[in-house]
Amino acid sequence: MNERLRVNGLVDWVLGTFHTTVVGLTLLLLLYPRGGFGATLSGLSTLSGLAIFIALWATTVFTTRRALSGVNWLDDDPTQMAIFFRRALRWGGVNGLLFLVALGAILLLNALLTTRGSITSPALTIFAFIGAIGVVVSYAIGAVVGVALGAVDIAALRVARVVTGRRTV
Amino acid sequence: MLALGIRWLHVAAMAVAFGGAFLVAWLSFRTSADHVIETAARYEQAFWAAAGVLVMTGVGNLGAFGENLFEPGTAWGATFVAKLWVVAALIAISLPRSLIVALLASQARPQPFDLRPVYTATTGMFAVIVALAIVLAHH
Repeated sequence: MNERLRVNGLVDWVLGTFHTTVVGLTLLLLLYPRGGFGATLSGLSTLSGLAIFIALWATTVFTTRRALSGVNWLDDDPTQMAIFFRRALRWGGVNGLLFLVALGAILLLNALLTTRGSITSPALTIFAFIGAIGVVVSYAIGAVVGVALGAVDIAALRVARVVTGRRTV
Repeated sequence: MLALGIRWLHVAAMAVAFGGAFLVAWLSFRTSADHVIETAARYEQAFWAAAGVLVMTGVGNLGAFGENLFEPGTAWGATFVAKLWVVAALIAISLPRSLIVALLASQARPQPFDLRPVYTATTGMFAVIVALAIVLAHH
């Protein structure tokens, strides 16, 4: 039982961090070749950039763990995989939402610490309005990304099962 | 100072990931697979921690260039894009590799399995990434 728990902990960590690195690398591969990436990055402080990535990493590992909770994922049983897909949709959406909240908090804190005068009532109203629309959009994007990455996870599991000679159900 | 710290963290994470892959590859040539699996499972945890840190500090390193970051049309930019694609390929092959180890580790008595090609390929890809990083650093 302890062995099972330990391996499940490894799978949660592997999949959660895989999803985070895929998002990070995809953004880099999309944005850098377009040019002007240095100028884009210089608009963001180094600490804010690190905080945003750590927030994405933390929320992704947390939501991946929730999606895998109680599922014997390595067994590749069709019933278990159906549960996993539904959870990937739901927890992917939650991840999008949590990341948006973290992103808003980091940017707001950054603005408070660096350009205190820019935090005015109209600016906060616009921030709240964009945030309200962002809740719906981030949930939808997170859900789509969650399902897509869930499919990649299952494909990788099937490759691993074939390579190790374990029959896929 | 912060930029130096990020650069140091980037190199340290690379050392953990590359050195660990080399170690597991070396062990898999010297001992039986069931003895290596425990070490491989620990390495997979460390590998993904290092992968996350490498992506995070990699973007941080780019940020340190600011407006002086080379554009993609330059030789530096082309080498950097090539490095990104090799990293993406490494991440892509690493997921099934980690799951192979998880499947073997989940067995009460791990089945005989040859881990040598898996970790030799990982080490080889890391060597290519390090070579590209050296080219970028000396540009």
